[in-house]
Amino acid sequence: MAFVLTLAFFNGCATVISKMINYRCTKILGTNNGSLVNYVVASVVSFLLLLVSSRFHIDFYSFVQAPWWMYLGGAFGILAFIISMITLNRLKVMESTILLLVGQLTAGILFDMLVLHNINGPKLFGILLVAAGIIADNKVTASQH
Amino acid sequence: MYAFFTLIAGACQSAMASLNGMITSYLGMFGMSLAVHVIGGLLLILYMKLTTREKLKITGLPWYLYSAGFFGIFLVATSSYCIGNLGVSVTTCLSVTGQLAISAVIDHFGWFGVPKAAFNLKRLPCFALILAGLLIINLS
Repeated sequence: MAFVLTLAFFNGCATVISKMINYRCTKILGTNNGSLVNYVVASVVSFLLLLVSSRFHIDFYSFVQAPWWMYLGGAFGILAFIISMITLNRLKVMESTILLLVGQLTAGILFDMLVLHNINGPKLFGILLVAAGIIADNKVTASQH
Repeated sequence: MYAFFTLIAGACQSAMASLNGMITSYLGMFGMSLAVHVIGGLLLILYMKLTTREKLKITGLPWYLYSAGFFGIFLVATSSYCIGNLGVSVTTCLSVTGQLAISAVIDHFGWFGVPKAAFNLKRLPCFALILAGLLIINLS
């Protein structure tokens, strides 16, 4: 359990570093091409990793077996990217950070409740406390500029 | 209106993470990462061709910036693994906490060439609140 918790924390750390790298890519190539770099490199490297990890016997049948709507993950990712690109300049950074978080958590809580059934009262309270802390922290850092 | 769409963008991120978590049981970690990035990349190209009509170009970067793709794989793989074990909302809470913590450290020490900004002690109560929330989640 401690391992998964730590991994989720490091996922956040890696998110920041990845955003800094992506930002530099977009400074050189423009917003869309700069982001495309991530997708192209990640596709090629994922394919190589899949090839090696399956000892050069990729199970193509499993790709057909997966329900089609589960493939919509990539589409939702691009949709989120395009929306945030369009709205970013029209909102304050603090506003958009908080709105993204609230949207993420609301959808996340709904998914956990309806699909995974792993939410209870105390847990929900904890999640709301974390959200309150993050929003308060955003306000503190925004006010010092 | 823009605020509403930003909320939707956040919800899309959660939807992506949930679906990636589900498809991993069919495709495995790397198969999922392959599917997500190929589909996302093709849609991005389609979007560029239809709206901005810009030329595709991914060359001419310093070599280390291509590590973006490795981070992309690490991020989808770890979040789908964590969601499988913790659920979407708890994973999001921990990940955002990690983002705040590393950003504070990077700013404080001026790593990666960002302007140095000393840690603001007024943020401590906020961090305490987050920590309290995480403890309650862990105990529940």
